[in-house]
Amino acid sequence: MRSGQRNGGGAPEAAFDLNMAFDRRDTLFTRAAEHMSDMVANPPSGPHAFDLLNGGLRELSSLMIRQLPLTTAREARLAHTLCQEGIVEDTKALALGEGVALFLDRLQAAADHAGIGPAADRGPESDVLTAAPAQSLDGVLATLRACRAAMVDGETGAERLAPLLDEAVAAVECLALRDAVARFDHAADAFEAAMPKALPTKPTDRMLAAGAKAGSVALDAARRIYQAMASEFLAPRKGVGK
Amino acid sequence: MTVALPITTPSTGFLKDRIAKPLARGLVTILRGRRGDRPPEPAETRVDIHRQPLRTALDWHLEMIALWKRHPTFGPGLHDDLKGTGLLSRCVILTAQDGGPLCFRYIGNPTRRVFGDRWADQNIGKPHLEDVHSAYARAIDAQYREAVEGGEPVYNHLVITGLPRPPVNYRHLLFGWSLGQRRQALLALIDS
Repeated sequence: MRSGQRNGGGAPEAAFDLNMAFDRRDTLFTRAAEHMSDMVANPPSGPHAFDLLNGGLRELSSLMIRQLPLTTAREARLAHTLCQEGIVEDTKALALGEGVALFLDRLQAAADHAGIGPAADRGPESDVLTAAPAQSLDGVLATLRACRAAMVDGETGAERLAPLLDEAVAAVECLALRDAVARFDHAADAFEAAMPKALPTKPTDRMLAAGAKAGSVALDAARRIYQAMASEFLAPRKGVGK
Repeated sequence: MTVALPITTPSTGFLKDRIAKPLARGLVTILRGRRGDRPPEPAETRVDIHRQPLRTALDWHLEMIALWKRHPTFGPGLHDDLKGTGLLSRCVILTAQDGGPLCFRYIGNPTRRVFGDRWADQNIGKPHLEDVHSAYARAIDAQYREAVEGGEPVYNHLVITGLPRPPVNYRHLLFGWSLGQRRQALLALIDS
C-alpha cells in the first residue's frame, strides 16, 4: 500500500478525501495535506501553536507550488513578494511558472482587496474571521493569512480557526486536482501524437473529419480524395522493375 | 490360350465421367460445405494468464519499475523519460476519463507486429473492450483494472491461442495511475 489508504477499504477518516484529489500513492504533498488535515481535526494550542500551524501552511504552500509546472520565472517582483511574505523559499519562488505567477498575482490582489495584504493594516480580529468564505483559489491566500493573523493575536479560539483551515485545504486540493488533470491530459495527448502511424487503406472517421475540415470540403469529397491518395501511395512506384 | 485384348487409351469422356466429375463434386463440397451445413466457426480464442513474481523480471523491466516510481503521477515527464530510455516503443498505453472505459492512446511495436498497423491505427482513441479480439480484451481487462486500482505493478506471462496466426507467447508488466475517477491510465510494457 503506497497511499496510506487500504485498497478497497472504507472511506478515510480525514476531513477530506485525498483519494478523490490525488494519486493514491504516497507523495510529499499527500503527506503534508494529511498533516494539515490532522491539524484541522485537532487544532494546536499552547505557546508553539502558531509555529506548528505556520510551518504546516508553509510546507503545504511550497509543495502546492511544486505540483504546478515549473518554468522560468515571469514575475520577479511577485517572487520577491512571496519570499518576503515567507510563503515560499526564494529558490522555489524563482522557479515559479507563468501559471503559478498568474495565480499568485490574483491571490495577492484578493488579499489586498480583503485588507490583509502586507501593505494594509491588519483589521480587527472580528473582520478577519467573518470574511467571506473562500469559494475559489483566489481566497486561499486570504484565508491562510487570516488564520495566521488570528493565531498571532492569540485570542481566537481554535474552534473558530478550524473551518477556515478546512476551507483553505479544500481549495488547495481543488487546485492540485485541476493541475493534475491538465498534466494527465497533456501527457496522454503527447503519447498519442508519438505513435508511429501507417497510412491505412481505409481511413478512420477521425481522419476523414479532420481532412474535410482542413480542406473545407464535404465528408464524401474528403473520402474520395483520400481513396485517390491511398491508391497512389499503395501502387507500385513508377519506373521500378523496368 | 491367352486372348490378348486390345489396349486402348480411355477416351476423355470416360475420364470426365469416372474421375473428373466426382473429384469436382468433392472439391465443391469441401469448399462450400455440405448443403445446409453452417460455415465452420472460427477457432475460439483462449488466453492463459500466469502471474509472475517481480523478482523474475528482466533488467529493462526493472528499469521501467524504477521509472514508474519516479513518476507517481501521470504527466509529461513520464512521456519524456519513456522516450529517452527507449522503452516507449515497447508500450501500450490506455487512458480513461471521468469513469469511462480505458481507451488506446499508444500502441507500440510488439502489439503492432501481432495485430497489424491497420488495426493499431484504427483502434487509437477507442475502448479496448470494443476490440474485434473480444475474448482477448475481456480476459486482459481484469489485469488492467488490477494494475490501475491496486497501485502495484502486475507481471504476467500470457499465451494466446485461437488467433488467425500461430500462438502468441509473451510477458507484460502493467502499471497504473489514478486520479480517482477523473482520470486513469494503464501502461503495459510488452516483452516479445
